[in-house]
Amino acid sequence: MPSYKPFQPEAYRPRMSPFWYLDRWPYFQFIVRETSAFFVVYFTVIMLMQICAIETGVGAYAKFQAFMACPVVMVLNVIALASISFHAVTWFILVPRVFVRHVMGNVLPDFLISVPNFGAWLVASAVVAAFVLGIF
Amino acid sequence: MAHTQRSHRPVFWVLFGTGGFLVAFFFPIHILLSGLLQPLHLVPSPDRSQMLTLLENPLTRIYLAALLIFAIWHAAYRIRDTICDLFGIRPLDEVIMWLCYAGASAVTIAVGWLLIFVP
Repeated sequence: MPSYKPFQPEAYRPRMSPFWYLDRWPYFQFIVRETSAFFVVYFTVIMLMQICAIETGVGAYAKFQAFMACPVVMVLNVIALASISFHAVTWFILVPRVFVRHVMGNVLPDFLISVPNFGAWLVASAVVAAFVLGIF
Repeated sequence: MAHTQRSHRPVFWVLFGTGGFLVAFFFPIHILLSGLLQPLHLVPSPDRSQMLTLLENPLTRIYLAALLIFAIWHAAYRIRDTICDLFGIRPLDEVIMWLCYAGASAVTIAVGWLLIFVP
């Protein structure tokens, strides 16, 4: 008996390279932005350590400051800053894609919605800096 | 008609979206100051007693709690999908989701402990 079948239904499984994000520039940008989440976890833990050190005492806070000054941590911080800033910029540019932007029947241009975010970013940063640096 | 389960993604997407805004607005300045400029002594570093006064203010605690809790849920939502896409292991999504959300829950409890219960 022949073992053939009239047709062989199979699930369609597109083959994807494990390094698919290197194929195209937008894919690479996508994965770079997604990995910013790992640095969010990293710096959330750092901020918890800082809060814990401040609550514990003078010695603990001095230890925390020494830890932050060690070169490996500083390099990680530079990468985290670059990564999360990239997240911030792309996030602000995306805002017109998800916000209602019809005003009296007209569609507002994208920049009118994304540009104010950058202004708010500056103001927020200035306020946080004033507190962290002890100016207020 | 068969029972269809509704996705719980919208709930976590709200946390992701809010966290995305808070992270974008506030994380870069915290990393720049505490992570780079203060360790390099390029800007003043207030001593522990000044920082404690700042931390004892209820408004500071509300700000930090909101920032850190939304940030960790933002990261958990994104890391879940990033791990699936980066390594091509979408079939394990359920397991990865539970791991990410368990981690975020643990950090949420830690934030609560540090900012609410410790005087």
